[in-house]
Amino acid sequence: MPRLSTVLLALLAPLSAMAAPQTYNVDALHSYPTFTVNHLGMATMHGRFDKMSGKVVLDQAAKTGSLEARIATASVSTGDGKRADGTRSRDDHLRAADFFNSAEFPEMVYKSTKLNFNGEALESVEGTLTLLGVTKPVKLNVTSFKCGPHPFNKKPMCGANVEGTIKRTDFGMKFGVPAIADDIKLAIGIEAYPE
Amino acid sequence: MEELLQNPAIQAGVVPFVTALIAAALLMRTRLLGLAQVAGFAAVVALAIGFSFESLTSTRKLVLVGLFTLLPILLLELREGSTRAAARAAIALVAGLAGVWVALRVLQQKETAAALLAGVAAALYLAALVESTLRVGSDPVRGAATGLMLGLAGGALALLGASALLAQMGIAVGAAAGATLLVQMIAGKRSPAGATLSLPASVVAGLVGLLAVFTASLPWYCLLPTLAIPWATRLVPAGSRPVWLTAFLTALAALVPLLLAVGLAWFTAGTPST
Repeated sequence: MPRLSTVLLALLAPLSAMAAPQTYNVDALHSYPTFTVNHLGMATMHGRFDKMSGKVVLDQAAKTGSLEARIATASVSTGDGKRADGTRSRDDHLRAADFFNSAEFPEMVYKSTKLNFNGEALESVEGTLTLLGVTKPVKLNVTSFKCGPHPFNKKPMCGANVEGTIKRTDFGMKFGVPAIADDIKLAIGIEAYPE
Repeated sequence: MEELLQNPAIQAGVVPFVTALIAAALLMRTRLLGLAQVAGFAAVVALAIGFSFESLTSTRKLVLVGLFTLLPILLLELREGSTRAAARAAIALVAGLAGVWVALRVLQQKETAAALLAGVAAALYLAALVESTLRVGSDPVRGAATGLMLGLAGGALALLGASALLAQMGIAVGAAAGATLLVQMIAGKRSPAGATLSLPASVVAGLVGLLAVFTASLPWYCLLPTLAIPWATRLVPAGSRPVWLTAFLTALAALVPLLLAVGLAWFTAGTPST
C-alpha cells in the first residue's frame, strides 16, 4: 500500500504543473498578422504578413505571462505580389523604404510582459512594438482566448485573436499620409503549442 | 493650401524648384550658388519626410548627408580660387564613405562577402559620380546641367525601382539644379559659382540611386549609365554662343545617358502603384 505522502505528491503533481509557467511556440502555419488601412479616403485595403514566429509564456494560475512575436516584414502581402508583365507590384513598394524598408529592417517585433486578465479571461496584452527601428508601447485587445486539446490529435494547445490600432507615423512611416491613412488596424490570430 | 502641399508632385517638383529659384536669384552673383540646391533639397525633406532623425534609417542618413553638402560648398567657395584635384579627390572619398555609411544597415543584413562587394561598389559609384561632377563644375552651366539630369535620373530610377519617397528626393534636387541653370539662362551670363555647384545634386542623386538598389528593387546595372551624365556635358564646347543655347545643348547631351539609364530600368521594371 503506498504511503500517504506518495499519494499526496501524486495528487498535487498536476496542480504544480498547472501553476508553473508554460512556454508555447507559435504555430507559424496557423498564425499571422493582418492589417487594414484606409486608401485615399475611399476604401479599406487589407494586407497580411505571411511569416511570423514567436513564443508565449503563460501561467494561468498566477495570471501572468509574456509574449514575443517576430514578423518578417518582407512577407507582406496585399494581393499584388508579382506581376506577369514584370512591373513593380504594390508589395514591392510596401517592402521599399517608403513603407516597411524590409532590406534594412527585416523584422518587426512585438514584446509583451503584461497580460491583463479579467477573471479567467485574458482581456488585453500590453507591450512594445519595434518597427523601423522605433519602439513604442502598443496595447492589443484580446477578442478571444482559449486553451484546450486539439480536436483531432488531442495535443494541448492555446489560441487567441488580438487586435489593436497603431499610428504608422509614430514609427517614422510617413509616406503618403494622409492619403494613405496614418491609422493602421492590426489583427493577429495566434495558435500555439506547448514547447 | 495644405492639401496642395501634400501632393507628391508639388512636394518634389514645384516647391523645391521655387525655393531653389529664389535662393539662386539671390546667390547668382556669388560662388555659393550651390546652396540653392541644398535649399531645394531641404524643401522636399520638410514636406515629404520631416527633419526627425529617430531612428536613423538609411533615408534619414541620406537627408543628413544631402544637407551637409553645404559644408564643403562654404569651405571651398568662401576661399577664392579653383577647386584642385586633391580637394576633388578628398570630397569624392568622403562621398564614397558616406555612401557606405548610409547603406550600412542594409549591408549588415547580407553575407560578409556580398556586403563587402556591395559596399565597395557603392563607394566607388558615388565617388566616381561626385568627382566627375566636381570636374565639370568649373563651368557652372555644365555643372548645373549635370545636377539637373542626375537628379531627374535618380528620381526616375527610384520610381521605377518602386520607391516614391526616394524618387521625390531625386526629382527635388534635379528641380533645384534646374533652377540654378535657369537663373544663368535668364541672366544671359555664367554665374561665378565654383565647382561645388552641383555637389548637392550629385550626392543626393547618387545616394537615391544606391538606396533604390539596396532598399527597393532597382537592378544595380541601371545606375551605370548615370556615371556618363557629367561627361556627356563636356561634349558641348563652351564656345561663344548665348548662355541659354549652351545650357539647352548641354542639358540635351546629358539627357542621352539619362534616357539610357531609365530605358534600362523601364525594361526590367515598370511603375509602382500603391
